[in-house]
Amino acid sequence: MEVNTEKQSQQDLPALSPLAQLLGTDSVILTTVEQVLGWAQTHSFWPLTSGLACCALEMMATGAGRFDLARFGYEVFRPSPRHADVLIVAGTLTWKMAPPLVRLYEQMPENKWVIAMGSCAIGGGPFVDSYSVVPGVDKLLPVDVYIPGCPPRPEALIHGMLTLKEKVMAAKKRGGKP
Amino acid sequence: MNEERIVNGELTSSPGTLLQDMRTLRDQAEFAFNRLLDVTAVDRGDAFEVLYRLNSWTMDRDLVVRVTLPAAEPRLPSVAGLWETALFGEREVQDMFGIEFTGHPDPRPLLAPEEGFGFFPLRKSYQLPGRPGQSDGR
Repeated sequence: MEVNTEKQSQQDLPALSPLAQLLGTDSVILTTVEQVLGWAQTHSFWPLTSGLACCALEMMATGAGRFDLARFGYEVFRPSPRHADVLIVAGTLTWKMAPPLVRLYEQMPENKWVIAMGSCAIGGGPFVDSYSVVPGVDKLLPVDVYIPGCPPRPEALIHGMLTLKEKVMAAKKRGGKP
Repeated sequence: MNEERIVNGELTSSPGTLLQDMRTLRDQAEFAFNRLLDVTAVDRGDAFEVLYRLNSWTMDRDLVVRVTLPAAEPRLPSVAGLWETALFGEREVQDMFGIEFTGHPDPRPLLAPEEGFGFFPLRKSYQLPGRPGQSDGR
């Protein structure tokens, strides 16, 4: 009879979550607020819809179903810089377009990061000796991650986003500014 | 203005008579060039040529108007008051060749940044800067 009572009380307990099953019911996680915030931030980057040239098509493909950037939590492309925290410079930046792009960057709230996508954004690409093209967006903006390619494939952009995640998390662990 | 001035589909005008010629070409019934297709320019070294491509919808006819102006004083009256398509074409020529169109209602740079390139890319005197590391320096 006693054995039966014990079984009965165990069945009344709520089912353990997968995390609790892994860690055990009496475990404690030690961390810092910064790291928890960093974990949340780096799993939900909100990129700005900021295509400038052909790289933008690869960026669109990355966001669409086949490559599915949503797997990593980065699918919320924002049309307003006020809502975004990652500026993906996808394409050729001309001197004519440079002031609006810098303004978009300045309109984004902190914390914010910049990804230079493709040869043109990295260093002017095939137009490096042109009179109209900025030879690399790092002349104007603080770039965090460079993605080579002309254009880079969606996998490369995903890799760039994940590299940015690692970079931000590493800074949070150090306690420095990302 | 008469038909004899048109040779091989081309009419040569001068900075002083341009506006008058253009107005005639647009308004006189025998020409009726109601459309300006393009404004462009050529750098001849000691002079610039500005070319206007006109088209007549009703007469089914094309015409090129060619104006030569000295390189020392690259200035022309704007035809934007006759054809609105000149608004963009003249601004492009202004950015690329440094030719001023007096009387243009909105002469801001079109292709160049707001403060301008600081040079005129389609002039023969302009040299591309060359690629980093390129030995011949272009």
